[in-house]
Amino acid sequence: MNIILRSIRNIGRKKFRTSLVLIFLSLIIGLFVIMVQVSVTSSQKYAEMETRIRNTIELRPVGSLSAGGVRIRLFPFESTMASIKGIPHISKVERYLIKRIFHEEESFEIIIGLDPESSLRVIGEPEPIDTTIVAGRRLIESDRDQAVVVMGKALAEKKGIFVDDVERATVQFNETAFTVIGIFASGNEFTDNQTFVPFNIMKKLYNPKGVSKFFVTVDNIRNTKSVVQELKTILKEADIIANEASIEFVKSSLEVIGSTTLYSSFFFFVVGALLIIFVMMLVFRERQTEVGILKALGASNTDIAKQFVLESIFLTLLGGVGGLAVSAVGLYFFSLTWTNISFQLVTTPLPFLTVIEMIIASVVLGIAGSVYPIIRSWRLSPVDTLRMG
Amino acid sequence: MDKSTAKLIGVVKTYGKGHLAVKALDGIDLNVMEATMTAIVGPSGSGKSTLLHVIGAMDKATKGEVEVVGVDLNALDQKGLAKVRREHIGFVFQTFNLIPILSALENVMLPMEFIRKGRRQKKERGQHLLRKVHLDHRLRHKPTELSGGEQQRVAIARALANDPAIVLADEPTGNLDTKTGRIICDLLREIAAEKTVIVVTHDEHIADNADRVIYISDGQLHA
Repeated sequence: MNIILRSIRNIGRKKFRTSLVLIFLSLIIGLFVIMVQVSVTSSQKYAEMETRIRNTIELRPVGSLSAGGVRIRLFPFESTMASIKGIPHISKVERYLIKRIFHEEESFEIIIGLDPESSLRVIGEPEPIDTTIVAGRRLIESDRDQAVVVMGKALAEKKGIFVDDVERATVQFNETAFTVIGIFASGNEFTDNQTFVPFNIMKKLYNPKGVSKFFVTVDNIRNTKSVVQELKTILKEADIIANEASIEFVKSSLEVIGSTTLYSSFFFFVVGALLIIFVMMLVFRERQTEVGILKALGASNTDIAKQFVLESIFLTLLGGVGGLAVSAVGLYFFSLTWTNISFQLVTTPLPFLTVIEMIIASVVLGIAGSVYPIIRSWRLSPVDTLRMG
Repeated sequence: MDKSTAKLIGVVKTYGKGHLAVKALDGIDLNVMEATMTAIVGPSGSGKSTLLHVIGAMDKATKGEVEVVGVDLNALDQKGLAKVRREHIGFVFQTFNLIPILSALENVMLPMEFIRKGRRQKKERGQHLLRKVHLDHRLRHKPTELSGGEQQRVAIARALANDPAIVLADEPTGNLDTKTGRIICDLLREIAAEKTVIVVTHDEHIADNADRVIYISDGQLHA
């Protein structure tokens, strides 16, 4: 029998106590893993959100806010674009031309010109988000100089164009026929009365004096403030709308979750360490005589240390396996609870990272637990322990 | 020519300090020859076990010279003493001191683990030694499944595991009935044909069978 098998068998000496310890260790390690997992995931989500969500800034000519950027003033075509592109941390600039076409019955529709690949942002939504294509496709690079449109569902239906008519149906704007290549739905009848066309075509068709609005994407949420400052300095004639309050809310929420779970994981780790240290103290006290016997038989301090380390690690690893089960269940319930909010902090089944966390935590706890018996056994004289026995 | 296995000159062992100091050994001179059986007898507290521990590299003498299998034990640190115990000494205890979770064979194989012997070698030697003490039918039994005499025979087999030069036995028959005690005594006698056996005992039968009997009282030897 080698030292590994002996260490494993030692764990089973006090079956009842070992079972209790394993239950507690499973709970503690399980909670530890959950906390670490949520903490790590919230940091990742925050980093992801920083680069992806709500990092757009809307630029409208000053005074046009109430008009939805439709008229009043416009940005000069070339100089504004050049000024914006010169600002650091801007990853994308999207320009929009906006035209309202009034009908006799006091209704109007809106045509929006934009570069292919730009987000289909409708006018009138509080959040400048992309719309959903329900039929056909978006504008792509090859559409840059083509007479094509992506039309709102409500407007398309008014014109007798339905999902199946995409790529076949045409509509007239300023006496030019445009092929309907896609239909979008924003869930709002007003905004579904809008139409997207390529920027170049719109410019030719209506000959506008300038750009109606820009959307500027910042590379990272953290740089939003500085970019806004730069824009304010350069574009004095612009209303600059950045969703800083939302950014701050997301940031602070994730920070609170991250720090709470981090401190909790530290707490559970300390509790786990105390438990295993206490158990290994008991184990050592019970087996002092045996340590003396091993020493009398010629075991070196290293041989004895190895046995305690292995025994402690096996115990915590078993607890870790139980902890995985606890964390799998816990994370599953977390994921169920948190599906109502816009970001999900946990995933099921357990990611590989969680298993690695469990192994590392168990090994570290095991080592912590073996320190006391190792130190005591090193100081132990075989004669004294045999006399005690 | 007879060769000395253990040589002690003027050995003193004191426990405690100042006015609380107790002299367990008080100027011991002893020369134990190879392949002999020596019985150490004396009243309780006379220093028998202390003498055995000093010879067995478990305890260091306070004063004097201790040479075992040609090694000066006083010159060694704890690591060195452990090496001497591992390679040259075999212990047999009054209470057997077998490891309860291990089978008879595993108990015998245990000391071989400390000299990094291969698994197969350990197993073969363990089986051989248990055959030698007539326990080859009890290889897989745990100590709790063995009688006192059987446990002591396993302990003797374990003491021989690393082929030591000296086997030290502290009251090996103290926990056994007379008949079983005789069997153990015969076994030790048999071992003494090849190795040095030193036995601390109250058992007259062992003393009668020893090549040499040393009487100790108040930490001093009497011929």
